[in-house]
Amino acid sequence: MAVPLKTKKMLTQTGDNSAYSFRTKTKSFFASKKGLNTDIIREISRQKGEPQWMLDFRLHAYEVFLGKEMPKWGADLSGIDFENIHYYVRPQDKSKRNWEDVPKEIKDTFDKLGIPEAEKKFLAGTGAQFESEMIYHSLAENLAKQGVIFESTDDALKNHPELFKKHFGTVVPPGDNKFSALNSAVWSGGSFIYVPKGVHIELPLQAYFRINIENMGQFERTLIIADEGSSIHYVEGCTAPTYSSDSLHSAVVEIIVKKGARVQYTTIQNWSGNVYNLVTKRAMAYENAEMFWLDCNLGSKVTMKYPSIILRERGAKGEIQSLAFASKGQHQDAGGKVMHLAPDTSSTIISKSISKNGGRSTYRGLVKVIKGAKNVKTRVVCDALMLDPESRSDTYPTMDIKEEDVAVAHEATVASIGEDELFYLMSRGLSEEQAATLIVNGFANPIIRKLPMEYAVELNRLLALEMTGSVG
Amino acid sequence: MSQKILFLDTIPDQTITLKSDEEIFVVGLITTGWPGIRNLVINAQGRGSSCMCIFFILGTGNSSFDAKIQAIHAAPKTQIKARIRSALTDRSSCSIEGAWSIEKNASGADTYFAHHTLLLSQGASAKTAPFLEIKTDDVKAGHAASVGKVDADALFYLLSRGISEQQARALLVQGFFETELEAIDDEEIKNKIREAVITFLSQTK
Repeated sequence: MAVPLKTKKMLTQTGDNSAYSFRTKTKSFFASKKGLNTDIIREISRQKGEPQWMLDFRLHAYEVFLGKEMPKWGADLSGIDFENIHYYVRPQDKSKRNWEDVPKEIKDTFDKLGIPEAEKKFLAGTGAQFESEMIYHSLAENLAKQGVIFESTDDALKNHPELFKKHFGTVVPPGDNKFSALNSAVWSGGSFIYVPKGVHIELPLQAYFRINIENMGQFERTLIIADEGSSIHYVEGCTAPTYSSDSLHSAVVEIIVKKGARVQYTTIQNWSGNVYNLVTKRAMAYENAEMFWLDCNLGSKVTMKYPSIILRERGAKGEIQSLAFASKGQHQDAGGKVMHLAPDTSSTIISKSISKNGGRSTYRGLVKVIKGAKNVKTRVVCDALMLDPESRSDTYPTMDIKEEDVAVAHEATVASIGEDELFYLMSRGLSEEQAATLIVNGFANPIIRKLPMEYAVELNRLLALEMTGSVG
Repeated sequence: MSQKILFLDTIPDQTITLKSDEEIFVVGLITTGWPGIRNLVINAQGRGSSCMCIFFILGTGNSSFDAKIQAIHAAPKTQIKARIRSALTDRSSCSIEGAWSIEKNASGADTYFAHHTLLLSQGASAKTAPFLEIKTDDVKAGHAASVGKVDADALFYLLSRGISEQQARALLVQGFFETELEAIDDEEIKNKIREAVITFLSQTK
């Protein structure tokens, strides 16, 4: 396949067309008042020019949201003030196709994230979300020719109404939890991807989410449909600058993996320390389909995120690998859930967490096997590394097995950095900080090496940054 | 030093508080279920105290074994370990939540929780939730859980040696429990457990 070359060519061309012509600082075209009521929801829907069914869907979800209590388990969410949030902010009047039209500030951040120019060119498609709207989307020509759709979720609602309506909200219904209801009421942006039967996208598609203004709520909605026998790898990155008050990021990601298809969804998240990150991610895997969540969580004030997979038909396979790094004032409450609803399904959950400077990391997981789901195999491994006595690490796995013909295994370990290891490395001439960083990297490496190379480099750098000044 | 064993026939609804350097060893041979949830608390309050629990659960009929075991490391150099093995047949079910916590002052804590379950019939079910909360770093902590039927490879091997299927299954179930018996010195208790397993197997078709 000549995808890389064509992609490269296309991006170079767009670069030549309008090099660095758009340097204006972004300002919001429209920002909803703080707080939420049905008027704001109607206004969002009106501004987006949505069909009636979507407005009804939003209003219904809002009622569900009001009716649900805050979760009483997991992280402390008492700091969230739903009245002090802008639910919809539109930075510019429409989605841009040319990377150079995108405000420099975002591109700079992209560069700071360490995604090098060369690598940008190799990515098959890119989407960027700034505040509530997708502002940039591109897709390699030949993928578009094969019928691949990669658009902002808003555009997809307009351009592919039937495909959209058939799948939207089917994996994560509004009533699933309080935050999925909130997202359903005020969602904006996110990616919509459709991969037709038998199409394999060899290079990752990528999206990038950024919260820029204070007291912002970002509620993107991503829907990926991989049709029979297709495959796709989607990568998302997230950041936000530091403000004194808190922001809320509450996304919903729905993935449908049809017969024999494969989807990998990779997240590299580095929110600033005042973002509540409460995300519902779920995939539905059909016959012999394969779903792989790769989830790297750094930053944020509180993260509650448990990517889940419903193995719905025979032979489906699921894998969840996650890495969490909790530093001072942070609580990473992450994990994974797998429901085995059919025979011959298998799953693996691997979680690694690091707690530092009084940070708290939590693994929370569920493996469920229903009656009749014969010949199921599942394995859960959680490892935690604690860097000092102030930090905290929790593990809350649950295994609920209603079928006899299964093999379920779970193991967990918790450790601190050994004096012996430190001493050995320091005797080789490393400083204590370098030695500790090396040990942390070694611990995280089994997850990091599953990332595309450039991201792996980036994550190693972020980890090194987190480790700076952590010793002595 | 000889082991002092507390030999039980159930998971008690009880709080065990450990004083400094106190060591207790609990073995449970449990063949009768109970309604509702039992709550066993092991509170290691004394420095250097340790508690080891080994439970053997043999479930038949409609019996339900539902318990929450809470282990609290509240002092330095404490050790709380629990190993649970259950074999379930008919429509029996076993649900164990292990809530292990290591408090801030419990440096040098050594903790372990394992729950392994063999499901021997279609109607049997198991739930296991080995929770672990750790508030300081100088600790040794681990947990493990598994649920499944008798190992197909091992069964195949025994069958290929001319052992009948019923006998082979019985051997594997006995082996499943035998592993845990090694930690127990008292021969009398060991034999009681072995006999109970044989009785249990004779009730299983």
